Amino acid sequence: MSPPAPVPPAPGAPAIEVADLGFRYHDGTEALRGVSLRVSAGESVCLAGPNGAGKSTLLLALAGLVRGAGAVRVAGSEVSGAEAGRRLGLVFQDADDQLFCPTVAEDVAFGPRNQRLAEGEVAARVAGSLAAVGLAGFEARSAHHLSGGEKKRAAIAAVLACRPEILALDEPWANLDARAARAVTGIIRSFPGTRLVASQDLHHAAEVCDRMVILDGGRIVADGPMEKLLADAELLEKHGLDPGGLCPRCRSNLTGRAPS
Amino acid sequence: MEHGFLDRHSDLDSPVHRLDPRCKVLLALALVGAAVSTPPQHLLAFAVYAGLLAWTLALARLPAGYVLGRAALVLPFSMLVALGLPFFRGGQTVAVAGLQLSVAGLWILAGAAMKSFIGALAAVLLVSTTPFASLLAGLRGLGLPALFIDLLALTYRYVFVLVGEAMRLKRAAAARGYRPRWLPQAVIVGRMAGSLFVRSYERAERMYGAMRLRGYLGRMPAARPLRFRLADGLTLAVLLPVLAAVRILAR
Amino acid sequence: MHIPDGFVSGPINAGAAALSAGALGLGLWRANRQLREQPQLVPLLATTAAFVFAAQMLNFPIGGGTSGHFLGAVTAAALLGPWNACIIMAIVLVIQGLLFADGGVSALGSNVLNMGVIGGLAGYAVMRGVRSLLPAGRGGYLAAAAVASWFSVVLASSACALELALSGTSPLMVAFPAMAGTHAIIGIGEALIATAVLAAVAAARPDIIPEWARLDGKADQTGKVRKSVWALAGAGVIVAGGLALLGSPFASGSPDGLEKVAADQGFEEAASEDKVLWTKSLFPDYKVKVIGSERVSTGVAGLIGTVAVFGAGFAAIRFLTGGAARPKG
Repeated sequence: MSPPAPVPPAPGAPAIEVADLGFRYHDGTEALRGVSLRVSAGESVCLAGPNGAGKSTLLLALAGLVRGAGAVRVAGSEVSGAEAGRRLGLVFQDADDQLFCPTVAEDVAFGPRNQRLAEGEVAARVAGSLAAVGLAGFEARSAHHLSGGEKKRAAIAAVLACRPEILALDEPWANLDARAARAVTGIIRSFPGTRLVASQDLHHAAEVCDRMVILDGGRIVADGPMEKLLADAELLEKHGLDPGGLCPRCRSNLTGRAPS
Repeated sequence: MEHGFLDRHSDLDSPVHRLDPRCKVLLALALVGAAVSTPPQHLLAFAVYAGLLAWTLALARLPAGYVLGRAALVLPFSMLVALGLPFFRGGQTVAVAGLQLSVAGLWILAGAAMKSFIGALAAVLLVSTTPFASLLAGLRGLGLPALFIDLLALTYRYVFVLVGEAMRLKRAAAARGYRPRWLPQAVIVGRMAGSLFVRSYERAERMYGAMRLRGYLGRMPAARPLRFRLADGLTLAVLLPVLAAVRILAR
Repeated sequence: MHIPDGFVSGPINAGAAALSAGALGLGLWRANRQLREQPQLVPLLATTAAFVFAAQMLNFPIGGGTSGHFLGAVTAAALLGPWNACIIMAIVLVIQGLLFADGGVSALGSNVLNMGVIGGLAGYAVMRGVRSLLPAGRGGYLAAAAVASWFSVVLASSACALELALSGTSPLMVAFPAMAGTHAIIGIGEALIATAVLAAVAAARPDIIPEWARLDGKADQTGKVRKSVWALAGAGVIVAGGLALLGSPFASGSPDGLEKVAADQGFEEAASEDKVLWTKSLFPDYKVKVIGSERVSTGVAGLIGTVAVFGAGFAAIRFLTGGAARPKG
């Protein structure tokens, strides 16, 4: 069952527009320097980069949780905290940070209830979102009783229930076993809106995204079609990405070239 | 931390499980209040209290060993506090195994044992027949402030996470040869606790971000309102006077 | 220190519950107001309560194979303010009482009063008071936290002993030295842990303790902090010694000694179930007890023991704060 349809974007506006964004943490570290990015509606973009590159910070800025210098526009309007969840839904790296209610159903209902929807509509969204992530029947379960993969899916359901136009995920495949990772890939692929995935796991990202943006030291160092960048092993290695993480067979499947 | 430990069996179905949580909380409080205020000499009253709890246990179809075992956990602590009393209490004494034990002290010891066990048993029964979220809704319905209830819910959720992190820190320290032997080593415990607090603070920051993104503005959204049914009213109408009568008779 | 059901009488529990409810009500009202500017307070109070819960499971040895547990009231007060600390301790106690049978549900009033209100609020007041005596600076801050933490544990356990005595469960002469005595030692662990927690937090995330950044690390280069801490230690020893003098004549292990005392002072009729008579006979005679000459040697022994324990504790604290006061390179 496909996820609930998102709110349609403002016609003509790019889904994400970032102009010269800079951000510095309170201890002085510069996490983002002059980042400019444009993502059109419906695109699937992978944000890749080594640890500390600024991927998570960029996602937080897009979600409106941190504010830096420079312009950030999501779905045509300036980003501000509480509103952002309706246009950009962010799935955190650690599902425990997003599942804070006593039961899964209450977590998924949290967003719709805060949107002041009627209880009937809330229940419909909860059922729809849980079904979309394959957790139908988990309503009464407590978050601490779930496995890592189930928690991740529950967190995604909680975000989907807010009906965002853009789905952003921070390292969605981290710490998941193969089966759970496959389930997450499936969920992301079935999301009809714009997708932004921050990940070092190029193997899984390649199945979901068609464009890759490489971030290193807070700056964008590459931006192009997925297959083209994946074929450039030197570029990947220079920026702390593992070209070997993508086995030669998979890479050749993607690029159409024979394995070396 | 054993995840299923706390409100295990609360998802079963029985007449007790189906009662409104407010009703169950009121009954538990009434029973514990009656038991705690009854002088220990009135053993028959305690038999009635225990009997009511045993009947609830049976009606709720809970495993007796589990429930009684958990309730019995309180006894080592309460006995530790009360054990010296027959020796120190003074007054009339009775000879037991060659020792002069105070009668008053022995009664207090017996009372402490019975009351602490009954109190723990009532709590275990309440928690095992009421999912924690529902229990909190009941407390809210009985008038506890909303902020306190919200905090109880959030804390309950993160207790498991924090205890897990604390256990990991303990294991890491033990793996590096830390063996608690003397008091100044408390400093090491302090450093572990400091690390634990920073982690909990940063988790709060991330959780707040997650809450804001889903529209949080300072108050958790209200859950479905509870509805009192006939069964709840009847249960209270019968059991509360019974408890009151037993207590009054056991003056 | 968690009192189970059946140890404290109804009236005492009710009175304690009323006081606790009042303090909590005020704390919640203040928190609701604070929420308007700081909505992140809700997750923070919850994670800190979970932290206190978890930290209370970390135990430390106090000698003789036994171990003590962290309380956390003053630490929470230093981190989030005394009223929030009160709320946090109450939350921890409710969860412990309901779900872990750690502390009776009927005794929640007394437990919250002892560990939350007295531990948190009074403990924080002690911290403020001690800080005003010490030179301003990071060493002073940590030393004050250490002293206040020790006091919070001793005060809370003393209140517990008082509740037990007023309920007729245990004579004050037995409960008080037992509770205050053991907690005087556990309190040292509490002080060490509290200081280490605050120092660790200040090192990793100085923005968490806003006043830490304002404190001048350099002020501790002078010997003034050390002198002040020794002065405080001396005052503390006098207080503890006084407690020992008052308490230890009654801590005689021999039942005969206590029964003799009871007979001498007419306590015998109070050994009946009539708790009111017991209480009335105890307090007016309390002063007479101390002057009795056969008690002096016991008292002196208690005093020496307390001084030794106190001295070791304060030396440890001074070493710790001396280290923390060194400015980071």
